[in-house]
Amino acid sequence: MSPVVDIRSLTKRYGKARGVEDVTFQVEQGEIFGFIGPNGAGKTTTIRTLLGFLRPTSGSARIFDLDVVSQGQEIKKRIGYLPADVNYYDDMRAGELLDLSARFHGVAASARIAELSQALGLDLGKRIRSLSTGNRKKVGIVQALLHEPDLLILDEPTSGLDPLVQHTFFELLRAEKEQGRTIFFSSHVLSEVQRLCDRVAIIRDGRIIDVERVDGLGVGQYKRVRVKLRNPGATLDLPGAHRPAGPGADVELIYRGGIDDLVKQLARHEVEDVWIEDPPLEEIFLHYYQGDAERSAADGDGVAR
Amino acid sequence: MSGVLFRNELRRHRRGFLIWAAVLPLLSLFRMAEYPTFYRENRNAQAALEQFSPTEIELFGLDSLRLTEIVDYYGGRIYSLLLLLGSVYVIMLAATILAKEEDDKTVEFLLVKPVTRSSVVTAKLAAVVVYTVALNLVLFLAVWGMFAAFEQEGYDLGTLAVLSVGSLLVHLAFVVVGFLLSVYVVRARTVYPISISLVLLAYFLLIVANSSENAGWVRYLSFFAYVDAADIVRNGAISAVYLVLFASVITAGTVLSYLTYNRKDLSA
Repeated sequence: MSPVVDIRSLTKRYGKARGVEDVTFQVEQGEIFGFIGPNGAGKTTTIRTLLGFLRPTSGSARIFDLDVVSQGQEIKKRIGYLPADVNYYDDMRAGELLDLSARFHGVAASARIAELSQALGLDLGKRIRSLSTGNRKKVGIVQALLHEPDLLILDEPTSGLDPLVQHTFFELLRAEKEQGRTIFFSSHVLSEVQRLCDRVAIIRDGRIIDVERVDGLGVGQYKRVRVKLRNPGATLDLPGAHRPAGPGADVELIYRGGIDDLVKQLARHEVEDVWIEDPPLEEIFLHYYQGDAERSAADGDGVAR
Repeated sequence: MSGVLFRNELRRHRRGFLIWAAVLPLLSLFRMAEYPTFYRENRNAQAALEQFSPTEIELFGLDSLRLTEIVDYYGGRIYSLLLLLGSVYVIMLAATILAKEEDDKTVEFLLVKPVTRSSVVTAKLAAVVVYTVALNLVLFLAVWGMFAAFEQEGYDLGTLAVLSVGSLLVHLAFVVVGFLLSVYVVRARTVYPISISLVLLAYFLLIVANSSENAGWVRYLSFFAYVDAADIVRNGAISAVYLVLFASVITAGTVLSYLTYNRKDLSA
C-alpha cells in the first residue's frame, strides 16, 4: 500500500522567508507522525505546500497517492487541517462556522460538533471575535475533526491550549488513531511528540536531518537539569553531563543518561532545589548533532548560550 | 462553483448591499423631486442652462442636453453621480471579497475544504456580479418610478434603459478591475485606497476629457466617458467602440484573475 503522505525531494524557495530544500519522507497509514524542528525551520512551509497554499519549486508531494497541486480538491475531502494560528471569520458564531465547514464537506455533523465541543469545553454560541486564543484553537480542532477525515494535518496543535484541554485533545487523537486514521503533526515541543508519536521527522534550516521511530530517538533522553546545592564548593560528577557549569552553588547542565544515575548522584549532595525539564529543541540539536562537524559550525550562531 | 461559498458570500455582503441600494435611490430622489419646479421655472432648455455656471456646463457637458426634459435632467444632474458612487461601492466589494480572506488568513479555512481555487474565484465573482446587477436593477426601477411620478412632457423609457445598461457596464468593468487588483494586492490597508483612487482617477479623466478640446483621446482611459449621458441621449445608444472596449476589459480581467489566482502562492 502506498504511503498516506509521500513527499519526495520537495523544494520550496520564495521571497525572504526560508523555504525548504530537498525534503523527503513518508507517512504510513494509521501512524501518528511527528514533524519537529525549531521555529522557522520549515515545518509550516512544508505543510502549506502539502495543502496547496504554496506551489512547490521542485519535487513532488502526494497524499492518498494524489498530487497535491493538481488533485487538491479530491485530497481535501479526506483531510482535516488545524493551523498554527486559527483565523476564522470574526463575525460568525463558533457554531455557525462549524456548520459552514460541515456544509462544505457535504456532511451532517451537528451531533459530532456537539460531542467534540462538549469534550473540549467550547461554547458554540460565542462569536469568533470574542474567543480567546485557546478557544479559537478548540474551534479549529472541531473544524478539523468534524467530517471524520482519513488524515489529520496539525500545525503546532497544542500551542495556546491549557494542559487540561491538551490532555483531552491527545485523547481525541488517540481515539482517531484507533479508528485507523493517520495523523501528521508538527511541533517544536519535544515532550508532546514523545507522548504521542510513533515516528518523527526532524527538520532544521529547511532540511530533513533525521526520520526515525520515537523510541529510537536519541534526543528523547536529554534533560535540562538545574541543581541548587547547599555546599558552594561541591561538584557534580555525572556521566553524559555535557555542560557542567563548574563549581558553585547553582549547577546547570544538559544531561543524557539514566535518570536513576542522576538521582543517585544528586543524593550524595545536600540539595536545596532541583529542576529537571525538557530542554528547548535548539539546545538538544546542539548536543545531538555535535558529532557532525559541519553542522556544529552552523549550530554556533543558532544557540544563545 | 461552490454553492455553499456563493450563498455564504451573498449572506456576508447583504447588509452592505442593502445600505447602498437604499442610499443611492434616496440621493436620486432628492434631485429628481426638484425637477417639476425646475421645469416650471425654466420654460426652455436655454433658460435652464443659465442656472449653471459655465464651468459646470463644460464639465458635465450640460450644453448638449435639453435639461427641461426629464431624461436629460436625470442624465445631466444625477446619472454621473450614481455612476461614481456605485463604482466606489462595487470596486470596494470586488477588491476585498477575495483579498480580505487572504489578508485575514481565513482563506486557509476555505482552501482546506474540497473546493478548487477556480471555484472560489467563481463563487466570489458571482456574488459581486449579483449585487452589481441588483444595484443597477434597483436604480433603474427607482428612477423609472421617479420619471413616472415627476414627468411633465412624458419620457423615453428606452433612453433610460440604455443609460442603465451603461451604468451596469461601467460598474462591471470596475468590478473586474478591482477583483484583478486584489489578486495582486492583498493587504486591505493598501487595496482600499488604491481601488477608490482608481475610480476617482477615472472620474477626473472624464472631467479632463470634457473640458479640453485637445484631450479627446483621454476619453478612452475612463470608463465613465464611455457612457457619456449627452451622447446616449442624443444617439439613444452606446457607441460600438465603447461596447467593444467594455467587453475586452471585462473578459481579459476575468481570465487574468483566474489564471493568476490559480497559480499564486498564498501569503502567510
